Amino acid sequence: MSEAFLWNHQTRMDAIEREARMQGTRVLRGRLLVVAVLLTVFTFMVSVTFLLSGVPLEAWVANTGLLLLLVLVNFLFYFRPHYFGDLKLATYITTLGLYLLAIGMVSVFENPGMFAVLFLVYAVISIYQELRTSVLNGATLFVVGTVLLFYFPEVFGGAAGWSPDTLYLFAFLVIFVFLLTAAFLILLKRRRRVFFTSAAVKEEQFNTFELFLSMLPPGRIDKEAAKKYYEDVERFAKAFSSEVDVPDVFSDKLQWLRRLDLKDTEAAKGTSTLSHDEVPELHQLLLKRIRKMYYVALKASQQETIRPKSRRFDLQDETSLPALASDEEVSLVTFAVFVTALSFPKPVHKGLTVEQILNILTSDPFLNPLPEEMLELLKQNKQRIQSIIDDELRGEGST
Amino acid sequence: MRDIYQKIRASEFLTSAEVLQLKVSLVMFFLLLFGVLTLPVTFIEEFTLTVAIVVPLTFLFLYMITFLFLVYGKARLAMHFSIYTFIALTVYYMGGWGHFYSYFLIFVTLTIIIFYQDITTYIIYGGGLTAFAIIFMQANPDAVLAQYVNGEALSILIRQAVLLAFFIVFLLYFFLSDSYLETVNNEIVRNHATISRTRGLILQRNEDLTYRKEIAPLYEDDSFENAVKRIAGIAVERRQGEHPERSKETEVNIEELVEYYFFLHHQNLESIKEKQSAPELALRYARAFEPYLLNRAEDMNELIYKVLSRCVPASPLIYRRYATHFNSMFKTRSYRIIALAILYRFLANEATKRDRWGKVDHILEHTEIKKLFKSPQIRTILDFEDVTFFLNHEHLFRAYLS
Repeated sequence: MSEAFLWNHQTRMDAIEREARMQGTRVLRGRLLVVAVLLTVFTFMVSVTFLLSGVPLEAWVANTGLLLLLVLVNFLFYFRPHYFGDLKLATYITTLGLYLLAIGMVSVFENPGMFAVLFLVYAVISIYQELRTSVLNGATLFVVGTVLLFYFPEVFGGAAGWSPDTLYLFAFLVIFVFLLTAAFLILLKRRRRVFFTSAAVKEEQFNTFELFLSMLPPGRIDKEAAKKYYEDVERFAKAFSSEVDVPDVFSDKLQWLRRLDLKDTEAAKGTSTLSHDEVPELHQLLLKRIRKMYYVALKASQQETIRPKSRRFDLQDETSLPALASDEEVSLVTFAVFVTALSFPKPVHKGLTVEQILNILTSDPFLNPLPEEMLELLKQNKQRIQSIIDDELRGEGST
Repeated sequence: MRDIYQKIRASEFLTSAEVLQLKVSLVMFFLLLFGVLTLPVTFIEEFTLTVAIVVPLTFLFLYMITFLFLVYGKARLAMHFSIYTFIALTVYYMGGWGHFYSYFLIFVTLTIIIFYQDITTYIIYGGGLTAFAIIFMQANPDAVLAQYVNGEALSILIRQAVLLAFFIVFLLYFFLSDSYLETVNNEIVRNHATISRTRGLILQRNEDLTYRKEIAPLYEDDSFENAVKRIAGIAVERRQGEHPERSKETEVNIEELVEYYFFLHHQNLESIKEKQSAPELALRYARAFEPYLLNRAEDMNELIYKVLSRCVPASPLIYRRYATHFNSMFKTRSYRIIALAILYRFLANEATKRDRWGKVDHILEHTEIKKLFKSPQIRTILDFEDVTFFLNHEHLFRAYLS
């Protein structure tokens, strides 16, 4: 494989994985806020219940204090995510803290009904929908529930211990933990795939835009074109500033754009210093080196009549690749057409070698429409097929 | 069980129907376990003979129905019946059995419903069961956990509150999960539609350029047809090597088939399909080849351009690589205005739409850009604030950027 191909492929795969991970982090951050609000409500309810039940003051202070601490942790991680690096830390702290609280409540009330508080804690932690937290949640519930059932029968008013009732309750606990953990594993695995697919579709969208841009007549998106864009935007910005009678804040930024994008070293001389935070924003606007704004404009141009269907999501339906025909004879013809069409030059593309086709198809399993035996056929006969294509392109072919 | 475990591990690659089937299988396993553990109690307890016979029979009946639905591929119906079975058992134990765990059985049944991860099912069955349990506990304070508590009002209230809170927290869980997946779903569908349209433009541009450069399109190029014939020949050779029993006739058919494939590019497929007199074989292959014709924006071209789009250089941008909404791309107002100006300039200067003849030659006019910016679909890129800015200063956009 060529270095350029490997670099492109790796850049894409890294970007897709990074985006999928970021989507997971974004969701988790939102869930921290939800759990913080939920725990705030619970703090109020638990406090009232404790007061009405006449439990000792120190128990009230300890439980309410712990809940408030957990609320604070969730809010803190939500509002200051960069301080902590990994948001999962908040979910682990909340999981262990809530189970501690549940144990406290069960022992304070000594009422078998209170055992259900453990299920409620499980439900609250489920809101995070995070893989490791779900496993920790299930494991903690199982351990805490089992220990309480078998070793602290007094908290159930004598109902627990090694009695048939306890065994039934233990069976319920097993069903509860096993089924819900399985449900979350399935959900979270599928969600991770959704995130990955979503990122892959975004990458594919940008690649398609790039292919479209590569077909534009010469001079439309090159260095000169970018320079012209910056000049026009500068004239527009000056006119705008004078119309609304405000100082021109755009000139500096456009000079920096020229310097960074067109390597125009003169451009940014005499301008104010660029702050660290501005650099990523500036990069979004680089027209020659990055082209992102062209992609955004192309996307905008195609949006007007798109209306997403509102229906249940099925990954396979959304992202499946059209297969080559299932009919055996037809599949042989479509295979030959597919390979030849990719190899022959077209006005929009100079054509690929058989080696390049194989590299692309084998590097990404989601991009390969060929059944295994066809791919094998291509691998084993790549030189023969390449020579047929070369012959025909030179006009020396014979049937 | 090993098979089920393997399926859970690879569940991200299963279809929704397969996942549902897997879930019903798991629930049926637990249902059987549960039935075997609890039903013999009906004979020990002081029930009438009718109850002692009817309950296990009802359980067996519902279990068999669930099983049959599962075997016949009706996983959704099987799911409903597995829930009915659990609900029936819960209601039966609550009403007739004042034991310690009938309260917890409600949670187990809710767990079964949650396990299916379907919000409608959860609201209907879970909501119904929770409401029933709360009312039942209110009306029969001694029936649930009777012998262990003194029946004081607060104790019952706590149990009801915990049950209700459990239901509400999982309801919230479903809403959050569903709404987020719906958002991602819409984003994927929208991005797919954008890709498909842009690919249509690329295909059209390819045809336009082919026409302008006066070169033959691939499906009219003899050397292309020859190459297809020879490569298809290699595939036939290989197949004959693997399946020597197949006759030489197949090879002849492949050559004819390739010719027929290219012939179809010049035919009106609809009229061939409607023609009563057309031979059955011709009709069959016409239908089979239809999505793979090179002059149609269907499967074959989708595959070709999908592969070709991987050959363009990858964008080196890392930070906010895929963000296309101005809110996610920019924090500074002045950069936002510069971006809006670049966006307008591109739209007002590049051909991004088909003209009345179908060619990709149409450059948006100011009124069209204005209409686009005012449409709700542009909200995936621009905010109200950006559109208002544009509308307030549209004369400047028109004068300097068109």
